[in-house]
This record gives sequence, C-alpha cells and structure tokens, in this order.
Amino acid sequence: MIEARKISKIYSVVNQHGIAEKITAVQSVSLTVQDGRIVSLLGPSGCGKSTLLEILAGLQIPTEGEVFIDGVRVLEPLPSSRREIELYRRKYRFLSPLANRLIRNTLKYDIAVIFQDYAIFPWMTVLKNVVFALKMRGVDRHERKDKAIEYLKRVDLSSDLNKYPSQLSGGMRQRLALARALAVEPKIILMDEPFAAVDTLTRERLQDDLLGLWKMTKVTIILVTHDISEALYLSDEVFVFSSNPGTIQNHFLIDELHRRRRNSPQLHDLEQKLIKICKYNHRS
Amino acid sequence: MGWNLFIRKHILPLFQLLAPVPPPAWVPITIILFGVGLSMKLFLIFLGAFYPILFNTYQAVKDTEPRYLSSARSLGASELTLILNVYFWHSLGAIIMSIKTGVAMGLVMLVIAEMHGGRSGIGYLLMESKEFFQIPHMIVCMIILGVIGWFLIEVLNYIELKLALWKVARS
Repeated sequence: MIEARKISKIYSVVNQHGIAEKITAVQSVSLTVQDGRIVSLLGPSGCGKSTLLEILAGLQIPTEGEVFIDGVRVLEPLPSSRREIELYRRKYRFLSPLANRLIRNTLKYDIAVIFQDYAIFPWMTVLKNVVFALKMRGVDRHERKDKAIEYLKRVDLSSDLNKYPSQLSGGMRQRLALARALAVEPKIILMDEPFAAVDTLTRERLQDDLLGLWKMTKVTIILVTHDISEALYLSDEVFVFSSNPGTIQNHFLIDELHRRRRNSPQLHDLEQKLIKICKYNHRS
Repeated sequence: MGWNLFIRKHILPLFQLLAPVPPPAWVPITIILFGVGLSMKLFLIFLGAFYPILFNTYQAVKDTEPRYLSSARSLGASELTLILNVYFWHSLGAIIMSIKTGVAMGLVMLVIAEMHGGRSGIGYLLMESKEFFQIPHMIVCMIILGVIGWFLIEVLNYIELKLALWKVARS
C-alpha cells in the first residue's frame, strides 16, 4: 500500500525580470493506493502529476509531507531549521541530494519507474539494458541473462536481443522499457505518460499487453496520463488533478462491472463527465 | 567534478585560475624544477594536453541527461555504478574529442619543449636547420609532425568506433 500524506512541492524559479519566484507544483496532495491496483493520475500538462510521481519514486524530495510504503516512511522532507540543515549537509555532503551510496546501495524502494521518453540507455543493447537492471537489483550473475531473455520474450522482443535502442521503433522501445521494469519484479510500477509518443494502434496494443502482464503479476501500477480514455480503460481508480497549484480535484472509482471494456457505455458516460470536469478546472 | 557539486565548488576555481596560463609560459619554471631532460618534456606535454581534456570532460559529465540518471537511480544504482555506466558512456564522444584536441596541444608542447631544452628530437632539428637555413630539413620536420598527429588521431578514431558502436549502429 502506498500512502502519500499532504505532499507539497515548491520550486523557486527566476522570472523574466531576474527575480526569484516560488511556484507551487504540488499542493497538499494525499492519496492512498491499495496493492494490486492500477491507478491513474489524470490532469492537464504541467499540473504537477509528474512531480508527484517522481516524489513517490524517491527521485525528488517533497517540500512538505511524507510518503509511506507499506507503513514504512521512505522519504523525509527537507530540513527547515538551521540545526537540521547543518546535520543534513553533513550527512549528504559527498553524495547526491538523494542520499545515494557511493559504492553499494542498500535498496530502499521496490519500485520500477517508466519515464515519459523511456530512458533506456542508448549505449547498451536491448539485452544488456535488462541485464543491467537485474544487476542493480542484485540478481545472481548466472541467472541474469536467462531471466532477461524470459522477460524480453514476454514482450515479443526476443529476436532483437543484440540491437541498440536507436535501431528500434517507438513501440518496441516502449516494450523494452516495460520489460526492464517488469524484470526486476517490483511491487510497484510508476509510469509517466508511457504511451504518449506512440500512434493510436500501437498504443491500444501496448495497453492490452500491459493489462495482460498486469494480470499475470498483479503489481500495483500508478499511471500518469493526460489521455482520459486511456485512464478510464486501464485503471481501477482515477484521480483528477487541477493545475495551478496541482491538487487532487476529484476521485473516481470505476465499477468492477465496467472495468477494462473498450466500448462500454458507462465508461463513455464517465468520459464525458470527466471531460466536462477537466474543462471546468481549466477555466477556473 | 561534473558529478559532484561539492567537488565542483571547491576545486573548479583552482583549475579555472591555472588554465588560462599559456603552457609555453610554464617552460622556464619547468626547466628550473625538472632540469633539462625527459621528465621536463613529459611534464610540458602533460600540461598542454591536460586542460582541454579536463574541461571538455567536465562539461560533458555536467550535461549528462538527468533522465538517464534518475532512471538508473530508480533501479538502485550507486554513485560508482552511475559513474561507470551512465556518466562515462554518455560523455564518451566528448571525452574522445577532447583527447584529440589534447593530442594536438601535446604535439605543440613537444616541439616547444624540444626547442628549449632538447639535444635531440624534431623540435631541436627544426631549430638547428633554422640556424643553417636548411629549408628542406624544416619542411621534412613539419611533415613528420603532421604525420604523427594524423596517426594518433586515426588511432583515437578507431578506439571511438570500437567503443561507441551504439552511435554508428543506426542503420
């Protein structure tokens, strides 16, 4: 179970007059996600849903609020008093701000992230990308390759093991990213607009692939998207964001009866409703 | 230096202060320190090649795409793996390019070092033929220098081709 409590993220940016301004990307967002569910965060671009996802993934530190995964606090907010700042500096002086270990990492999260533009490494072959991920998770040297091939087979990439990502098409790259995320057998997969860059037909196929794999593994998936029909088709729950500042506006549970049917009329009604809500949010 | 803010803040100013000193200006003090000999030449060549390589590599490492970093971090990579598996490969092209510049600068420093304190070598030969006005000798020296530089850069090209296969793999 993932629990986010009152998360806020404030950036400081410099405006065109050269004066520092603060921008609230996410404002006191609380959400709870049960295990084994697909949850969508839906909202217009730039409303802070990607920021929230990165906070959940542990890649950014929230200004306020805490993230709990299975009841364990995984993120601490930045210090506020001078004394705490001093301690914080001493702790993280030689490292990146995310408390990364220098030589060996003790794993904190059992999370895999799929980014908007996939972020698969272009200097590794398809096979090596997955093997690298397994290596990072401490899988035994002899098992890595077999396991990687097994997961690549699941996404129909077993014939392109030794190609480089630049030789693959967009859909194949997406499937590679999916394989890499699944191969580490995470409890939670976070996806940041995973199907934004592929054409409609490929997207529908990838969505079905994703659902098939999800049924097999039953991982928790948190999906960030701005595509309403995609959110409705894939997920059990939908959180609707509004922008400026990013907060959760509405929360929908989709009936089990209508879940994951492409042309169900109830979903169509809900889609119309959501479009209205989004338009309204946008105006205000 | 590109990797860590702490190191960057504390060491970069030092290099920025030292780098603008033209390498030939180091010649007199190097001769005092090392005497006339191989170690002085080596040190001068090192000085010539060091700064272009350092600054280009620094810039390339600093500009590493953050999405690759966060992707590797979310997989649980430690900083050492990040350096070996992400930073290095991402800035490989720039590193090799900077080594090429470094080779050219190294040749310059080789000639200068030999002009000032050599009893043999191409730079010395050049100076000597200048004394006796032997133009063919001078031209031969220049051609030899050019061929050496070209050869070294070809070697680097070959290494780049072997290492950065993923860049040429787009067919």
